[in-house]
Amino acid sequence: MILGRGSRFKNAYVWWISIFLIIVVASFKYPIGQQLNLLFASALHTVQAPVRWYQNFSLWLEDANDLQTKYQILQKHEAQQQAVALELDVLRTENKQLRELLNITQIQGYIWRVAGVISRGTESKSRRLMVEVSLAHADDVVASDEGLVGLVDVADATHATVRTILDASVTVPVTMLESDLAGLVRGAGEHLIVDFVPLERAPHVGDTLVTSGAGGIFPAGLPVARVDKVKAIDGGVFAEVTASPIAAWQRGAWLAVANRAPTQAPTSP
Amino acid sequence: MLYYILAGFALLGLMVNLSFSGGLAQPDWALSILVAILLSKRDTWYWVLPLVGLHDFLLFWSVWVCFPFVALAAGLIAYADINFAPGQHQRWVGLLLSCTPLLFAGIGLISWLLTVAFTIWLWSMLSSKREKVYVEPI
Repeated sequence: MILGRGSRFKNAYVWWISIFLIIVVASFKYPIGQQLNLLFASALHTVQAPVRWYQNFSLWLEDANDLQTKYQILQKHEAQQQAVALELDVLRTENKQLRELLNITQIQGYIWRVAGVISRGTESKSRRLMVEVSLAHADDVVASDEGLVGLVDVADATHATVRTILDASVTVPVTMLESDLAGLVRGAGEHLIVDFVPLERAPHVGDTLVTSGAGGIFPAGLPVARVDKVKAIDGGVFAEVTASPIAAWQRGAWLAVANRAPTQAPTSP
Repeated sequence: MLYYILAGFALLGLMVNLSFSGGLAQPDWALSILVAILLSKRDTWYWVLPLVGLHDFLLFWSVWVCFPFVALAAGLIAYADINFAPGQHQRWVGLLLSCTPLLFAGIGLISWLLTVAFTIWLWSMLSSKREKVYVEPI
């Protein structure tokens, strides 16, 4: 009797472990972790519901004068943003004209969508995020109002998982404004490493690196990293440059996801 | 039954970790609970290990973070219990073996310490309860 029960248990072990091993092997080929994250999205919404209720409820307890002051500050910010947006439009038009004059191939426009952050990786500087956004695709660009955050990894109809630029699998071609520097920024967990920076063109500590647009995945001009350390390597051609991301995604609740607008057919000259 | 309820709490802990990790330092609830269960009762390895795998998949998108070390710890505890004597030494080693990979996965030091502290507390609680039942059978 005991033997029979024991063998049934042993069978259960074998099945259980076999299924798990199959999943592990499948994970080498398919993004199982990301899919599981998407699968648990509704559970995350449920867990976060009490916090949302509390936030909504706490509005009732806020002082009317405080709310009025906050509203006025927001109005002021909006006016400033509009002025900046106007200036940006002028610069964009000017940039477009210059590019046409110089005959530079430029990336077509992007469609930006607002995305709410649902979850973050547990690392002190998250390497993975999940956002609530519709119609996202793999390799869509994710940015905050400060700069580049990362790339969409896997997406379904309503949610997307994001690899941030701190993840070792993401590499971003960068340059520096008013410079012909061309480097590659890659994630190293807690910080960023800038590869292929020639010693004579090495940036200074505090310089900002922006996306160069090379490769066509990232739109040109997005701030990516601030240089923390530049070190010459004895006998080496390239400098050892470490940097930290400009965008902070640990606390903000909103990000923007950009996917490329359908490309227009090239016009013959 | 208690262990299965705790497994449910481990799943809930995973959700809490994913939902609120940006805002506050918190232990890795799921790993703490699962490791405490394993340390308290080594026969639970066959369902604890897949759940540790799920933990790794959900939080790190890869199974090679804590899972291999917890598997190693489970093996070590079982081997030492059978070949030497059931005891705490192998369990302390197992605890460190299971929790240390979190440090290399980028978790903050405070979160790591909270994880270890919560594991020790839960392990002690589960073991003392079982010990009492064993010593004073009614």
